[in-house]
Amino acid sequence: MKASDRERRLARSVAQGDRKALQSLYEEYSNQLFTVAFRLTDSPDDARDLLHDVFCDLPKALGSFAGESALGPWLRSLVSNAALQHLRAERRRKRVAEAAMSDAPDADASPELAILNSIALEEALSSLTQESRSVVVLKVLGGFSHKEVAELLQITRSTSHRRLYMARKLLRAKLTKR
Amino acid sequence: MGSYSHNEHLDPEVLNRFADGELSGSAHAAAEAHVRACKQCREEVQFIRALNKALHDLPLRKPPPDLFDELFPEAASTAPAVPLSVPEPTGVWRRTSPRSPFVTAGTLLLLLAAIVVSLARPDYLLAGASSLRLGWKKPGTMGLEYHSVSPLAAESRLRARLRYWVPDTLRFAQTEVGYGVVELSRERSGAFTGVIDLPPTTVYAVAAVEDLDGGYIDNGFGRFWEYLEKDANRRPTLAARQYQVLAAGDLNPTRVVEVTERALSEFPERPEFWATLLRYGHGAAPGGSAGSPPLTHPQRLERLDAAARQRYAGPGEMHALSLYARSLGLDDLEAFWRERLQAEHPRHEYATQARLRETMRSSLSPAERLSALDRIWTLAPSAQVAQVGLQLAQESRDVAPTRMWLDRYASSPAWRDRRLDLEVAERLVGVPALRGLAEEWVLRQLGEPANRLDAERALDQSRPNFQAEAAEGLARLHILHGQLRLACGDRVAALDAFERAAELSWSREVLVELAGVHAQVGSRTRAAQFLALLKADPVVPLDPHPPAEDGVVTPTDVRLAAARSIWRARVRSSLLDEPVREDAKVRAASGEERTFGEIVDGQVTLVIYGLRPRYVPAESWDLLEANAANLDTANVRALPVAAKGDPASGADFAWAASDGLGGWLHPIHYDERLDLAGALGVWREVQYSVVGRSGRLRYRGENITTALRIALTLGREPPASSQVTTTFELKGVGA
Repeated sequence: MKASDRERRLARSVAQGDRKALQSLYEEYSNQLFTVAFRLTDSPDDARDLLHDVFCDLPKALGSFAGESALGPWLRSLVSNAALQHLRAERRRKRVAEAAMSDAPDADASPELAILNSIALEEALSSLTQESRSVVVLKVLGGFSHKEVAELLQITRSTSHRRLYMARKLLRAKLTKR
Repeated sequence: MGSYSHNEHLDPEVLNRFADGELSGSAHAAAEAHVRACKQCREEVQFIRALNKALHDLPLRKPPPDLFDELFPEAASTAPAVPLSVPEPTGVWRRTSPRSPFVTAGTLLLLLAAIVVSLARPDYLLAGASSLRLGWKKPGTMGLEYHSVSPLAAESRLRARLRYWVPDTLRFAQTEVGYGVVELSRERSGAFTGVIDLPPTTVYAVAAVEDLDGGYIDNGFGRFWEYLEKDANRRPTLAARQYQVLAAGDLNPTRVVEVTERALSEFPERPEFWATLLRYGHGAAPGGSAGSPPLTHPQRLERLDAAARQRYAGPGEMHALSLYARSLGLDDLEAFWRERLQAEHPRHEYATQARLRETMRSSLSPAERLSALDRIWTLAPSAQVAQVGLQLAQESRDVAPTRMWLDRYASSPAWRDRRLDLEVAERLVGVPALRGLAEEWVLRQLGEPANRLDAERALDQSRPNFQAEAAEGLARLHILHGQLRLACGDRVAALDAFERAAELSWSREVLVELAGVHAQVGSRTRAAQFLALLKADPVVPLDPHPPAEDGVVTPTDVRLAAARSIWRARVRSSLLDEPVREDAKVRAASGEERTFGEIVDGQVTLVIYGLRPRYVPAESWDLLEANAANLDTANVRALPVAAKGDPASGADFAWAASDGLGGWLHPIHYDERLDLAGALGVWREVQYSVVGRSGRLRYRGENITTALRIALTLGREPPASSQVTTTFELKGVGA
């Protein structure tokens, strides 16, 4: 879907240094962008820093916004990229260890109850390895296609498919304890 | 991609792609055929879809407010930062509706306030501007005054339905709610009054108004009308605010943040409000007192912890603090408050919850868990304990403990609801050893008066929709009864039960079940009739799981034609026939104003009316898209109308306004003055209406499938034959 006229105008104003336009962009998109950053990094502090950097650089970045896609997906892609770069740079792997530790039964009252329990789901999501979580977040929550996920994560499409079903398998195990 | 035998399962990647709707053509057809026949793969697909939905429903996270200040220091000093008045609905980046179909009251209040302020004079108030005042006439007698220019204004009598809360001795703990119904009589046009006896200790009540048939409901577009107990200074009391927050969590989650923030502005440092805000506000850390920098969560928890140790020590506060600590990963503090809660209020609901959680997290064997649950029950019987105990007992497949827990579960009707009762029945039926108990339970359900749970009807749920749901539930009970009789070899009683189900409901699920069971043990002809009904349903379902057709006579063209007639007759028997004001004006996205009559232009039109575009559930759009070809051939148009724009989700507008989706979809129109809402009698935040070729209203309700079925049926009728009614009966369609 292409950007609407309103989005193009907004993007142009931000690119030309209009602070009010930037502020309204922030008010409109910061929640969803913070959520994507948070879900990818699993850290509110990292997500905050990423959002800060993205918004500081946004006037420059929007100079290249051609309006080929709507503004929302474009911004999500920007934040996803920044988050993934950050993760690569940090080489954070502590979640792997935590994932192994977090097998303690938690949401095992019943599968129905568990799946409905968003706390359990958040915990299960956050217990995935960063690689698995990234695919779930980008594919299911971000609405990116496997092709786009593969490009963002610098992996092949078949790896993206495989990681997604492995992640679902793990989530199912954690949520249902079958 | 070839077909799959029933013995092998789908390759995981194929299964995942199928569940995500990424397969097409023969690959999709092959996978679909396999999934229909293979229970394990079907369950896997259902799980993936449920998981996707649950992931989408995860709350949005808000960035910390100080980020805004840091990025926009020039704005921070003059304007509020991120607007807090409109809570975000759950769900991320796709068109979604709030989990509960209630409006975000803040936006509506602003909308209505703008209308009222701009028009000032009461006689100019527009449809949608109504009010209900609740106040004590004398202790124990609540008076209600309802003023409206809504379609309800023309009624001679109305009914108000209430829920009310009375605090118990345990402080902010009672979650049981009272129900009340009162008739209002007309004083003059648009003004109604009534009185109802309520406990004089009621601190909080909410109400909605409906006509005596329960077809129209005025709940102020989900805002509800409230009574809050006031103190000597006419300010809401702490208890009133507490129950308001509690009720919002139960009735209207999209309002929780707004309501809690208001409560906090009056009662700062109440732990339960902060914990609620944390839970529903999704991590936003609101500022401290005016002028001071915002507190971080650990700082706030520290303050609340100190305050609670000095001043407050109720179970609600302890519970809130332990949850708050847990969310921040402070395990010691979490344990401190949890243990104190259990020690000081061992019988309290929150203590029970904590104990239940510990038990279910432990590595006890199932039998040990049941014993532990028994101890918890003895200490403090509660609905949750009974439900979990019943489930564990059922899993043990042992009759005696299952009966005991079933009796406990059944002992308080206030704990049960229709859905849970049915789940209990379905689980019991699934265990051969428990079938005797299952039959007792099913017959008990069937023997209870149909209106037993009428009080449970949601405040904004219309009676026809409630009754349709109830009929569906009863039909499922009859099907369960039939299955139980079949298991005993009593084929005659079983088939009788299945026929009763068919009399009550023709939902797809019921028809699928009936076709399947007749194919196996009943009449092949009857199976073919039900299959024909499924195939002749004008609506293409989103998730088709027709029965395996083995053993079913494939419906002939004649039988399909007969089934279509039956559908037509059934649809026609339920049609409304009300006038619609064609001069109601709406605005196109371009700004151009048009009358409803000009847009409809003599065509069958399905109006999808949302207070905001994003309130219309994604499933409704999906169903319409799945039926695009049907809509085109039946010459039916869908008209999306929103009372107000929704800049936060521009994509929704673009979707609905797009011209490239086929002739069946009109561009979105806006109804800022609620003119069309009044003309169509829209009284909920999402409502569907069908207008026939004659311009008369033929359906108004909350069910998109029913609306679509009616629209397609009307669209397919040649104009000249619209007078002819068909009178086939289901039983008359034999081969």
